[in-house]
Amino acid sequence: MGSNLTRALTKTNYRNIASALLIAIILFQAEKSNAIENVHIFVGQPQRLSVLQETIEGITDQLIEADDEISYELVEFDTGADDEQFLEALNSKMIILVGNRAAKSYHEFQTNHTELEAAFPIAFVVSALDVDELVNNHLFNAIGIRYEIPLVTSMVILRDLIGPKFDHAGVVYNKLFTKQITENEAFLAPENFQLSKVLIDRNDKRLKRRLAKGVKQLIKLKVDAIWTLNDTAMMTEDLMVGAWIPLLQKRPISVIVGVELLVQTKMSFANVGIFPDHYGLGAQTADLVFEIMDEGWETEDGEVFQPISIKKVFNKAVSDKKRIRYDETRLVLFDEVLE
Amino acid sequence: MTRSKVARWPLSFTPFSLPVIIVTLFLSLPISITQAEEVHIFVPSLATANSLQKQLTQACPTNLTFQATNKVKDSKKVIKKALPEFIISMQPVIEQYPDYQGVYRGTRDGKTTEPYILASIETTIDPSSLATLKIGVVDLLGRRKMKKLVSNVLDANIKAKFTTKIEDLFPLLNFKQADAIFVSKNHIEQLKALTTQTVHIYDINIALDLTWAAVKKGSDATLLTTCLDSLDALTNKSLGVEKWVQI
Repeated sequence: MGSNLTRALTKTNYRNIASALLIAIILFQAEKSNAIENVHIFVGQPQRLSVLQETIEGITDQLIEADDEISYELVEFDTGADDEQFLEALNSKMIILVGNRAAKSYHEFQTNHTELEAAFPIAFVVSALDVDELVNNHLFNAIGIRYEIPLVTSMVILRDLIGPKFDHAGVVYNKLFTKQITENEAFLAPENFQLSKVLIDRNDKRLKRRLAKGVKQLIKLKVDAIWTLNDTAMMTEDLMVGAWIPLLQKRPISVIVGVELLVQTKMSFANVGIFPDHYGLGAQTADLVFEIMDEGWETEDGEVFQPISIKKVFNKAVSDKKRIRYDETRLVLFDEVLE
Repeated sequence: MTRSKVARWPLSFTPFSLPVIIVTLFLSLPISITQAEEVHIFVPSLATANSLQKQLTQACPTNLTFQATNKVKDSKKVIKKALPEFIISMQPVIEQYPDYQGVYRGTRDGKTTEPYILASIETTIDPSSLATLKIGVVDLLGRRKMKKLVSNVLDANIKAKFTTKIEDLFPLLNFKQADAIFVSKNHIEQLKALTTQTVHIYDINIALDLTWAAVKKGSDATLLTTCLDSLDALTNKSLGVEKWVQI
C-alpha cells in the first residue's frame, strides 16, 4: 500500500516536472519568436465546406495586410487534428478554431492535457454553432463570435422594407434558448420592437400539437413576423409539414429563418433569410485579433461577440403568396431576391 | 474528267472555303461588337454589390459588363489582373492605380464633395479625444492604408474597426464593438432612417470627393460616360451621387 502510494506520488511528481518543463519550453519558444506574433488557424474539412473557406479568407486577407506584425499558420485536417499539431500551436499567441469540428478537436486536446493548462493560448471560436456553450463551458481561455444573427438585425431590415408599423415579432422556443431570447429582448427594446414568446418542451411527446398551439397563439397576438431559431429539434420534416408550413404559408406574417434551405420557394414557408456573411465573419475575427494583439494578448475569458456582417435573402414569390406588402425599391438592400 | 471539273472552281468559291470566309469576316469585326468592355464597381453603398451590378446592367445593357464587389482584396485582384476598361469607385481607390485616370465625378446638390461626420448611438462621444475611441469605418484600401487615410483626415491616431459594408457600421455601434463611426453625411442619413434610436452626429469639417469614374489611360471613355449620363435617380443614389460631371 505504502510503496504503491510512493510510486504513485513519484509518478505524479515526474508528470508534474515533465509538464513544467514542457510549459517552460513552450513559453521560452514563444518568447524567442516574439518579433512577429503568430496565430494558428485550425479548420476541419474546409474543401467540403465553402462557408468555412470564406471565413478563413476573411481572416487571412486581413492578417496578410500586417505580415510584419503577425504571421499565421493554417492547419487543415480531415478527421481531427492530432496532439502534435496542437502542441506546436501552443507556441502561438492565439488558436483560431474555425467550425465545430476544429473546436471539438481542440476541446478534446485540452481535456486530455490539463497539465498544460498554463500554456493554453487564447482560443477563438468562429463559424461554429453553440459558441456560448463551447466558450463558457467547454474550452479553457476562450472567446468567440456567435453564429446566430440577433433578431434586431433582421427586424430593422424588415421594418425598412415593410413599413414603420412592422414592430412585433414572435418566437416559439425551448428552454435551451432562454439565454439567447433574453439577450435578444435587450437588443430589441431600444429599437421599439416587441417580442412575444411561447415556451414549449422539445421533448414533449405531443410536440407537433404543442408547436401548432404555440404558433396559433402568436398568430392571435397579431405578430408581424415569426422568428425561427436554428433548433434542429423544432425544425424536423414532420414539424415543418405538420405545423409550421400549413399554419404560416398563406398568412401575411413574415417568417425569418437562419437556414438557407428554408427560404427556398419550393418550401413555401419563409420569406426572409438572414445568415452570417462568412467572409465578414472572418474579417471581424481578424479585426478582433488585431485589437487583442494591441492590448498585449489580454482578453476576458468567455467573452462572446455578436456577428456584425450578414447576408440577406428575400423571397418575393413567398411574400407575394402571403400578400405581404413591401417597398420594392428597398430590395436593393438584399443580397439575393428570389422571384 | 473529274479532275478537270474541280480545276474549274476558283479556290475562293469552293464549298469548302465558305466556313473560312465566315470565320475571317467574324474575326475582322470591330472588337466593340464582339466583346463588351468591363466596368469594375467598388463603392461603399447600402445597396448590395449584387444589386449594384444588376441595376447598372439593366441601365446599360449593351457593350458594357458590370462586376461589383465590396471586398478590398477582390477589387485589387480584378483591377491588377483583369485590367477592366473602367472603374467606378472612390478617389483614393482609383489613385492607387497609375494606369487609370478619372474622367467623371459624381455631384450632389451641385457639389463634387460631401461632408463626412462622426456618429454614435445613444451614448455621446468627445470628438476632441479621438485617439481613445474605437472608430468604425468601411475598408476601401486595405487595413493599413485605410487606417492611415482616416487617421490623416481626422488628424488623430485612431483605433479603427473595419467593416466591408456600410450597413455593418450600425451593428458595430449597437453591439458595442465601436464607440463611433466615420461615414459620409449621405450615408448617415440613410442609416438613421433605419433606426429609432438617438443618433448623435458630430460635424468635423471634413469633405471628401463623391464617387469617381475612371478609364484605363489611352482608352475611349465614351461608352462609360454615356452610360453614366443615362442612369436613373435610384441607380445614381446607389452609387452615392445625383449626377455626373467631367473631371
